[in-house]
Amino acid sequence: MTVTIAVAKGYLLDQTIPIMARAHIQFDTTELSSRRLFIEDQSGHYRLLQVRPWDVPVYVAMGAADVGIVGHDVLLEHEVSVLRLLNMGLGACRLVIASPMNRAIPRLFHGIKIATKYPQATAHYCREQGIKAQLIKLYGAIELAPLTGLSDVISDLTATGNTLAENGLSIMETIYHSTAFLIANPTQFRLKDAAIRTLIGLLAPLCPPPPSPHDLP
Amino acid sequence: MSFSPVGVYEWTPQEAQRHHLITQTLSQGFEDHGFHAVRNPVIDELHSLSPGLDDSLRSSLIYIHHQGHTPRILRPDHTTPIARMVATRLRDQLPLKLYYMAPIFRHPSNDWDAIEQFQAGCEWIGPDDRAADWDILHLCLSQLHRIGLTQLAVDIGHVDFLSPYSDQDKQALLQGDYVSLGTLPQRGGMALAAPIPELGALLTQVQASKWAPNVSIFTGLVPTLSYYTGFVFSVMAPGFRSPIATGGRYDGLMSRFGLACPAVGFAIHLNEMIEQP
Repeated sequence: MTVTIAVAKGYLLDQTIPIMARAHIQFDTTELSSRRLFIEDQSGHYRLLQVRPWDVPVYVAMGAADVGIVGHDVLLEHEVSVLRLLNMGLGACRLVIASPMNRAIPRLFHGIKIATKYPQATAHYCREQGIKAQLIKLYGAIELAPLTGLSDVISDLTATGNTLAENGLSIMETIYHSTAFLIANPTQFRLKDAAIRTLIGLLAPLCPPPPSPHDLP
Repeated sequence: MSFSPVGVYEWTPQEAQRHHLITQTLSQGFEDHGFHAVRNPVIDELHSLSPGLDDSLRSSLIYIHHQGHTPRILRPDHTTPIARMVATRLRDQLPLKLYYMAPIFRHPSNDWDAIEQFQAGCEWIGPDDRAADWDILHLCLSQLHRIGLTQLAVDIGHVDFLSPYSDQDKQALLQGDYVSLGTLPQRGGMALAAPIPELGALLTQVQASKWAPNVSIFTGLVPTLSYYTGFVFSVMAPGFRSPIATGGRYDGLMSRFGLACPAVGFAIHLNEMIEQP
């Protein structure tokens, strides 16, 4: 029985492949870097789909992939009915609100303009803080927004804080911490129960423990 | 060009024929087992159905704009209006075996889910003996078999699987968030069922039947609606992204309409079956 795994392309895929290799789930490296959309491991038990991070929950919810590996940030932003099976501890990062260092914005204020790729989580956070915020959804280069006057601050993911600092932005507040999760389609988790539990059993001991909030930048 | 809206259905004769074949087969099967057809209004009044509507259902209601003061909705399920019908008009005729075969309407939670959801279901109102649990599960599986679904994978759960958990963990289990829950629910057989005697008894009956290889106990299957009071089940099959049938015991619903009375039932979800080429 083959388990189809959708993995978010980019750093998550790069961190997942070595862990899978240590679990004896070997993918051919030339195939991985080729433009092939899906590849099988040497045992033939696993099939890998390399898709965009935001597409992973869709593939899994629709059952096109049995399981997926994707950042918790994506799941929080894009709510779909999938099972969350395992915190893989990979790709630790946090969603933060950051403001330009040269403009003193000590705290969120009513009507603040926030540019972000994460409007759901950011809006939810602002509501909880009792702040009416104006969210501006962008698809990339978020750091540019406050520097050009498009927004007052940004809400963006950061792992090290380096990119923010390079762009003259400093962290004001943390909205949440995120790591990569193994998720599953509920029906596939029933139909391939043993195979998916085997996969969890292989991966879980090799995943780093999720970092405690104190260890993060 | 102008098309019919996405999320609702229009059928060409060929498509209508496929739907007709399925529903005719199911109707015949339900009637052979002593169930009688009923009809619920398509348009209903919120306050009238309100006692039976949990928050999860309330959030997906479709409202109809009109001049009056009473909010009107499209029927979001069949079990609630049937409970109302029995409590108001059929209370002296218990026990009742009723079935329906018509769509319900809900705001989809995903882009790809339909607003119009075709259902065929049975409600057995009155029996408190637990033998009815097996009868209703058996009826559901055998009818799915009759319409050509042979590779069934059935999970059986129970409301009591929630009881060891804190409110926060209950929520995690209901949402399938096993990371927050801190444990992966188990699938298995009698070892999982036995702590709940009625579930053990049900599984004994399952295991004596031809369905034994298709059925497992799943400690992650718990009712999402608060009026479920006993076992629940979910039927899946290869090629279908969602459960093709769901059901269970809901002794807590009728009393919300003023008639304390046990009940057990199921709904077969037909959309994906109709859509398959």
